[in-house]
Amino acid sequence: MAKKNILLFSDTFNINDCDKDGKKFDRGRGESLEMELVIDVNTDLYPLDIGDRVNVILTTSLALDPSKAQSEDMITGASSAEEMTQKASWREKSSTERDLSDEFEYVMYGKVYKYDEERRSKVYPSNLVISLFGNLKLV
Amino acid sequence: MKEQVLETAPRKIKHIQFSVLSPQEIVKNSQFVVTHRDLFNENRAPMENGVLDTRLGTSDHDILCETCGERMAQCIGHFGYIKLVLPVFHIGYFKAVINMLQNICKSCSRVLLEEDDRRTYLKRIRSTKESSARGKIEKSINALCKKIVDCPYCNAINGPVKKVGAIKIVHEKFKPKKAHEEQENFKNTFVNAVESMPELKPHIHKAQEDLNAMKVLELFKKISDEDCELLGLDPQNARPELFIWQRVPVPPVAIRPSIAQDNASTEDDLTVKLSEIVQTNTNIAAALSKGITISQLMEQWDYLQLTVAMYINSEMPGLGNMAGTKPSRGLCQRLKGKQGRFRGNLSGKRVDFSGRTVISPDPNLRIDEAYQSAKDACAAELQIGDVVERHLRDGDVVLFNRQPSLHKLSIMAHYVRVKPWRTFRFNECVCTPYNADFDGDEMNLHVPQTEEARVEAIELMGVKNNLVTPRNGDPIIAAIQDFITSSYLITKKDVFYNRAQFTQICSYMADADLHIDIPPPAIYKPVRLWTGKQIFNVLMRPNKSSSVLVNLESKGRSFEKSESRAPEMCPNDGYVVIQNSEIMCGAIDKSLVGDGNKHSLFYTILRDYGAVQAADAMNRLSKLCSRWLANRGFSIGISDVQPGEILREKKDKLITDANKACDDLIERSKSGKLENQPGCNEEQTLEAHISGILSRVRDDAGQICMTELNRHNAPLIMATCGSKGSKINVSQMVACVGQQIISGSRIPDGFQDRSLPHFPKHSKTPAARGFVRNSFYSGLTPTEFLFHAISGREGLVDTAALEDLAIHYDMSVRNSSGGLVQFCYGDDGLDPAYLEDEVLPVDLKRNLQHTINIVPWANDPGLLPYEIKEITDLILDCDEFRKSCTQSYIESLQKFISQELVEKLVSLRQSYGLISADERPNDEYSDIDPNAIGSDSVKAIVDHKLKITERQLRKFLNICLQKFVKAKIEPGTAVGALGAQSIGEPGTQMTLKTFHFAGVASMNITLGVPRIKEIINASKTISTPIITCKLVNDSDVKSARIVKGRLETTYLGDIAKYIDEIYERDSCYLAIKLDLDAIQKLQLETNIKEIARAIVNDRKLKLEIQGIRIVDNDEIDAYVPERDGSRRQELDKLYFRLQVLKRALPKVIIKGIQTVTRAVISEAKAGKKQLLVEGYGLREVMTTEGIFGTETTSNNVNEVNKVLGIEAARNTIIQEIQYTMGRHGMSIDPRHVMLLGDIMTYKGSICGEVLGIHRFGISNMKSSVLMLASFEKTTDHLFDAALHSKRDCLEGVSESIIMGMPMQLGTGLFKLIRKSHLGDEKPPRRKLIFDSRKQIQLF
Repeated sequence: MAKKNILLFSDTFNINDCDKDGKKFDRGRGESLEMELVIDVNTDLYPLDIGDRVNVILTTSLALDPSKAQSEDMITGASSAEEMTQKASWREKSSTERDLSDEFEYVMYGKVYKYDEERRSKVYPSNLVISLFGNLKLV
Repeated sequence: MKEQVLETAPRKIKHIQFSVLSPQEIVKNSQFVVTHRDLFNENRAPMENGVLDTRLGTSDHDILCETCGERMAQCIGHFGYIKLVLPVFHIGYFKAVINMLQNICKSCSRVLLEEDDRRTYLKRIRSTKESSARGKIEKSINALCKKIVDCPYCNAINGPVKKVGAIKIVHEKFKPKKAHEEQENFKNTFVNAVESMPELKPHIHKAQEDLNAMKVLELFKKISDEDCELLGLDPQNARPELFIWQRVPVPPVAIRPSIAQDNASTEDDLTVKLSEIVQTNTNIAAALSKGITISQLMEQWDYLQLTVAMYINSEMPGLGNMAGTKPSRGLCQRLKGKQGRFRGNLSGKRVDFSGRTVISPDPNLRIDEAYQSAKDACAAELQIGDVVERHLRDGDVVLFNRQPSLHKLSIMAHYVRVKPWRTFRFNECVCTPYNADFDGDEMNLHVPQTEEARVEAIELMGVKNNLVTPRNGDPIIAAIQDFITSSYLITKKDVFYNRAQFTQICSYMADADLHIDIPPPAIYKPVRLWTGKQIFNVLMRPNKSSSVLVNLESKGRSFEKSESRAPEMCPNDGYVVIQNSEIMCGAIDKSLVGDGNKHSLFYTILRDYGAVQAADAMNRLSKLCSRWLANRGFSIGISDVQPGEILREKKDKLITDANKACDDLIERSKSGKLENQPGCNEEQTLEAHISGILSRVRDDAGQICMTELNRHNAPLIMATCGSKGSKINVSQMVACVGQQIISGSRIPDGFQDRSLPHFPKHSKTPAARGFVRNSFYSGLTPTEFLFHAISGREGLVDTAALEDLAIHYDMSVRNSSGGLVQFCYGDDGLDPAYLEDEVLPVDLKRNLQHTINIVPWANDPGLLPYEIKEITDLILDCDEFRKSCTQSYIESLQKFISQELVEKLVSLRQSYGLISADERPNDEYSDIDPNAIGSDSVKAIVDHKLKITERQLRKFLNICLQKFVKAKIEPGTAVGALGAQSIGEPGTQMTLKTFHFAGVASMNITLGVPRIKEIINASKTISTPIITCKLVNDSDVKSARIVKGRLETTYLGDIAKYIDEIYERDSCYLAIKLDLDAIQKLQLETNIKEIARAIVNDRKLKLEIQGIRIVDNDEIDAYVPERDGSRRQELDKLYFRLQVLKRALPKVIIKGIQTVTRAVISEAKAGKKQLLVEGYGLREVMTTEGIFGTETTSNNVNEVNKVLGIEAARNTIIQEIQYTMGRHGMSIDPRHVMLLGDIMTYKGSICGEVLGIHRFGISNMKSSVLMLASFEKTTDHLFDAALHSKRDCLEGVSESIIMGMPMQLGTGLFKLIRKSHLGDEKPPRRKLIFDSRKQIQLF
């Protein structure tokens, strides 16, 4: 599986709402385009405003060469924005090493723990993924 | 080391026989006769032949006992006796003596029973062993004998025998009419006396026979042995004459020591009384030999009588205790009461190796540890043979206890850690079971002395083995207060740490003795950041080698349900998902780490990985949380409770509105415009409306607080995460304290027509009835403060009767004498502490998810529906399952798997267009692969949604089997005590409340402690009896009303327009005009004839059928029946009789059941009507037309027993207790309640009634004298035991404790039986000493 494709998902989103209640958390959330995405983002590190466009990808590895990808678990990232990932080692890489994260401004790590189908969303294909990145999730 | 308790002690006490000492035995046991009243002679030495004679033992260190020559500490003491010149009554048997005198003829001493009665009673009494049943027979004999005047044997006349004054008996021989003649003769004997003393005359007719002790003694001596049996005595052990004192034993000095104080000594009360007895006795002896007047002698005798009585029992009423003086302590007082011999020294003993001091908290301790202070050793002069006790050291086992010991978790075993300073310290997590806080509480500590005791203590009572309460299996040892607060704060969404911070926090959770693997950071770029939730991941599973993989999904406290989003997306982060020890989402709050929740983190670890892992996790949590919170800081100040501008405005508006609404209601009620609610009168309706409005005010104010307060507000944080206080408490501090409620209603009147004199009379405004509009911040007005301070709690339930119930090796529940109470504990033989679910020992859903998560997929193919079915059936059918599981458990497993796996998978496959594969393909299709159809992507989707491999399924079923086997209750478990504690302990937390019943505002039912008491005591009358009826036609209100009309009592007054006196020339009568309209409206099924009949049938009216005349269809005339007598009188009387009748007529019941107070139609589920009947009369209600008799029940246990039988009564007990507890939000395992129901009813088939767990019920249930004596009315039970020559077999728990024997419960139940080394051969008979001597002499 890992060998086939480390890129699980890739799309571009428009931020159209940011922390509806405004107060729940100091750091906020955003959502967007074609497919709806609700995601918790640490806005101290990566401020997002309504109207921003972000490219989000979901990968199983940060390695550039898919054949080297070790984990089938999961990751994602967002270009010009964010990404999410799992790596064999999370320690600082040397400056010469290059990987997927270099192309993104914001990278998170997490785990897809549940697939669920939500019939309410008409826009979409049948599948909706709930995944979780530490404490950050995507629908 | 101390020797262990040997079960093979050389002698074992088998039973105790109670009886009375005869004068001969008293003499035999004595050393000498006490004759001298003086205590000391002129040399200040004990007087010879006095009550302190050294032959009785000694209470002085320097004096040796003259009888045995031992010192004070060694001499056990010896008895003496006083020879009474004249016999006196024994105060303890005084009542019994009177009873016996009533039963016998006062001339010939035969029992006053005709020969026939005598025989039948003798037969009955001989065949009855049960003490309560014997008591009943004795009572009926007594009742019969009291009626008999002529003795059937000697024809003498017997009158009633009565007690006069305190200790005098009189025989009113001349009371019966027959005795008139005899009385005359008797009077004649006074002729001479009257002549010399005329003032005697008016008293002579009052003279009756005086039964003094001497006379009674003579009478009793004549009683035959057979008659003794009829008196309820055992002639071998307790002849009636023994109940009268002839010799008084003088107890050893050891039990009444003199206290020497510089050349003077204070004597014990007993010594004083004894010397008084000796004194009076010598006086009488002297008087008898010298001869004094009769009246003087009688005076002396009475005094002797009184002194002896005081010696036995100084608290007897009528013994003339002088007020103000210090009451003396008689023998009875020494036994009685909390400090008495029984409760103070026998049931509870002082012990060595124990300690008590103040407690303080320490989160650095493991939860199963307790600190002790280290002391300096001070051994100085040791001699050979001295035993040196060692100090406690780390790792010792101790028992730790805090009073009140309400349940078994009030005493637990901890490991010792010796540390400096003087308090006992333990981890805060263990506060809950002890109910301890640190405001100065003290606790006790006991050190078990043998290795066996240590092992037993730590295995059975160890903290780790008691993480859950046996009440319902909920975790009870868990994080509290600050631990919850900091858990919540750590796991909030916006908590991020860099590597330094993260590792620092991780190191908090251990003392540098734990290998920790740091997880990958949640945010990689731009900075590596870890979340607070990841700290919790580390806490659950600190390193890769830890096997703890928690899988849990649970709602948190702040979870908001919404259909439009997945639960995980809750904006409050209130849905917790933990997968393989990683928190996916959700903030950790009380429901996750606190007590009382089976979906909590620690409970899950406990159930899946055992107590050690759970305790370790808790230790890590307490260290982490206290250290983290100390760093972060968490405090509360005045600014936290200051309401903001908006909040204040909103709240003011809210209260003003509510006040206005209430005023409006009161106004409407005054003008009579308020429409009554069903079953309520005006006042109740108003009250209900106002309470509704006011309680809403507080709720609304709380809601505003929640939204308006800053989310960093400390009280708010504590309320949200559940660590301390509720949302209501927050709003009480910030916004408004709200309505104060006493027993379900607003503050009642304390003064005339008002609650306080600050308000106008009859005022019903919110303020006058205890509404507090201020907050604690703004300050309460004086009246508000007073209202707020009114509130109360009720004491707990005493459940002593269940102490000796235990599981035996055949899994049945039996009491100590082997009586069967339940065949199988709780019907399934499972331990309530091991239940994950309501009924099952496995929470199937969570465990299935858990297994799927922990067992790797490893490229195994997912099972097809039919394969799942087949594998399940195969495994469930194997021997392991069949032998160790109940059929119902296997069935529920099958059902679960087919519902949760097979059916779900089938429908899933169908919806994605795959072959459903719910049946194994038949032969023709067997070569077709069900997986062949469908694209890979579709299959992947289905697999993502639901996939289970064979290994996973097998593992799951294996877990189910293991958990079931573990959950089986162990033989020896004291289930009775557990049940009693489980029901009694929550009683302390219940406040007195009444609730509205099933939507009917006016119908209250008692709940809380009073209700539980009613049920457990099996009270005959209960405060709110309610019969719930199912209607034949339950959809139509009209027909319900008709049935209601049949039940409710309708009085003639309700349906009469008027009742008039009519006077005519030749007659007068009452004309009753019926209101036919009203009859129609009330849906009464009656007519004028029936009403007339009802009037005639009312016995009190004494009307005859001729006296009633029916006029038209709506008038009845009632004539007063005529009586004989003179015309004039008759007329006078007639008028008054008419008036009486007029007053009585409206009370005539014409329809309905008299015992029913009222009936209310209420809505049950889904618009179905049911009828709630307040009052008694279940039988009548059941048989009423229009009611399903088979589905009608009452909440009155006794009535159900009477009408439906003992099994129905048992069900009612169980249901009612569960209902009551449920209404208070407390859950109790049904097994405990079932056991209680069984113990109350298991003698039902013998005595036909429900036995309450109060002193009468218990004495019916138990036969052990010692147990009863240690429970209540100590001396009464002891005297009674001696009287009836009772025998105590020492089987129960109380008796074993008193006798210092191991009890037949728990580990004491187990006995090792082994084959004798002799085989079948009998051991040779041992020769007696004298046998051998005889032989020697012969030769």
